[in-house]
Amino acid sequence: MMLSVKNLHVVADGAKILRGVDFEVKAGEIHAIMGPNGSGKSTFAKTLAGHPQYEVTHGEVSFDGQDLFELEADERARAGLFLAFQYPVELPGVTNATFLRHSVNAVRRANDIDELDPLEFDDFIREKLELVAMDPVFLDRSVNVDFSGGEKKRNEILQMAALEPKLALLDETDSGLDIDALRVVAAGVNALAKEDNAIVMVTHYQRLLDYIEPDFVHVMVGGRLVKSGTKELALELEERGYDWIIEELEETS
Amino acid sequence: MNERIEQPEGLVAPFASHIAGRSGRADALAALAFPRRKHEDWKYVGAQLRALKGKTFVAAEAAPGLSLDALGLSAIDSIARLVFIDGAPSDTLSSIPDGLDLRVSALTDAALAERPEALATSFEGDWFAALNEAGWSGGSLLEVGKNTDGGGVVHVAFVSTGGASSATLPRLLVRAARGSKLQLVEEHVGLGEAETFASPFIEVLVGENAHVDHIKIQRASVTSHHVARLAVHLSEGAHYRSTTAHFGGAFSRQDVVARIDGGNTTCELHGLVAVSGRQVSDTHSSMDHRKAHSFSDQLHKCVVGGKGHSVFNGKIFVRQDAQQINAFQLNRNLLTSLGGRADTKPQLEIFADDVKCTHGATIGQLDAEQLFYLQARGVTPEDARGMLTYAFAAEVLERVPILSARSEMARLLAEAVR
Repeated sequence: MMLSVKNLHVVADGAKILRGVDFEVKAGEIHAIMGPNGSGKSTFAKTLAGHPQYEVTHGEVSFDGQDLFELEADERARAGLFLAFQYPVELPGVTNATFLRHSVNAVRRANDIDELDPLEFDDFIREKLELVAMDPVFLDRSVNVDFSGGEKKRNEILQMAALEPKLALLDETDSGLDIDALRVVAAGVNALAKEDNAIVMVTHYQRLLDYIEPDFVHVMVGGRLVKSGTKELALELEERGYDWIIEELEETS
Repeated sequence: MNERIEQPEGLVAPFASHIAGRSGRADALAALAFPRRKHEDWKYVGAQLRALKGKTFVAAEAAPGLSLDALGLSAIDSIARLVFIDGAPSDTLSSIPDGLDLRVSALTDAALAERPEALATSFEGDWFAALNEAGWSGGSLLEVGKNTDGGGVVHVAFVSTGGASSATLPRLLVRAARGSKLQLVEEHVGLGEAETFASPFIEVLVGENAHVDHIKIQRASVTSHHVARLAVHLSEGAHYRSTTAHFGGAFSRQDVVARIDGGNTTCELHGLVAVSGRQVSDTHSSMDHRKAHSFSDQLHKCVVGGKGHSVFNGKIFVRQDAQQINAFQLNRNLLTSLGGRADTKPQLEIFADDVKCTHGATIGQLDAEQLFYLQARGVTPEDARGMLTYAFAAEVLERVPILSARSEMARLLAEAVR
């Protein structure tokens, strides 16, 4: 099992956001978590990545056989967990090349792989740039500073390509993308999806799923995953919205 | 006659023989009181002044037989090198090749007497400047002739070898004649851990249409006291670009007075301060626009860690006749620890009406979202803090036009914020 989440409860700023999430991901799978705004989707992704704003009050998560909550955020990244940010952070004065090389070498070092010197890294990263159709000039620019929305998201996928994570969490990666940028990003993700890794997409809209086809679709409402299915569920959500699921829940409770 | 004011003997005595030989200067010093906290310009460093006042320093004696390698100077790509060991110029360690387009000679009182009034009065009433004026020795005069290109970088290094309680008053007068070009790297290095005192006084005359780049790297020992004065005078069409970096010193203080005395002038006074432990670094500047049509720019950044303390007081004056002035000033401070402190006081005094001046000051900490972003990419919290701190400060280095100086400053900065 790549990821196993049992009865996860999370609080942020004194408010209960996740109220008992159960979730499992195996290698080779692509999952989509959908749900209305404020349902806790992004909180779930950020909690797994170790964002300090979120406090786990109950539950267990094992990632690749390890207790995830025993690991700091940077240790989780080095262990192969990756979060593509909904709002990628700007780092003025840190060039993309420096950032990527530090990041790649930190992960390589932790996995006993030889670090890349600047020249080796240059060859390594140029190959990855092609995957997301990014111009090499972006390497010399400060991370995400003056990047358009689409460029920022492509930069996230570039980082994913460079780090080759076991599990990638894509938090609203489709938001703010025009259709061309969406195609590029989706093609990048598809190229990176392998038998030995897994992808979890968090998204409000079904649009992304036209380009990255999930094996499983889950619906989060009120901080819990209340319904799971295959990609047909996403189509139904697209057509009918989320209200019918909420109504179903109210009827059964 | 002025009433005699009590002087801190421990600071004055080391230079008594030189002071005795300059009676006018001696009287000027004797008439000034040693600064105290209640003086507005010294309000944040009263404790440092009191500590300094109570010390007994002795005249530095040049350590003999040092090799250049032992000095650990920054690797500056230079055409000429002037090395001062404990205040005295060293013929063996300096390298001034023949056939240069610039002239280096021993500074004399006569050469100082020829300074224009506007330069010579820059530090009137300042105790440390008066001490240097009366007590300096072993100074140098650096000149570039009319319409000549200095041909490269002059590296001037003041090395304190760490004789216990040794005191020096370095002195340098730079004259860039009309239409000339000069690049200067001034470096202060402290070897060892001894508590020393240095109060350098540097003056730069930038003639009509002359261009001067001036980099200062202060790496005094972390127990030392460094109180520096820099006076700059710009004539019509002159360009003066400077960046000062303070890494060393238990207490470092630098006052800069730039008198912009002509139109079509550019004056840049940038600064980088990185302190930690219990270091205190205080920068005061006066950007004095005296004539119409000039431009000034000042980016001053401080990184404060440990229980360090940075102070910035930047004044911009625009005189009544100085119309069409563009003046920019920004001071940004980053506190990387809970015990650090930064004080900042930008000051504008504008008496002309057709001017564009902006100034700003910020004091902040590292951004939690930026730290998390780096951590989420596998970077340890320690490395993430170092990267972000370096990035904050490195913006100043982009203003350094001398590449070898820039890379040395980058190396020193990386060490300082590690």
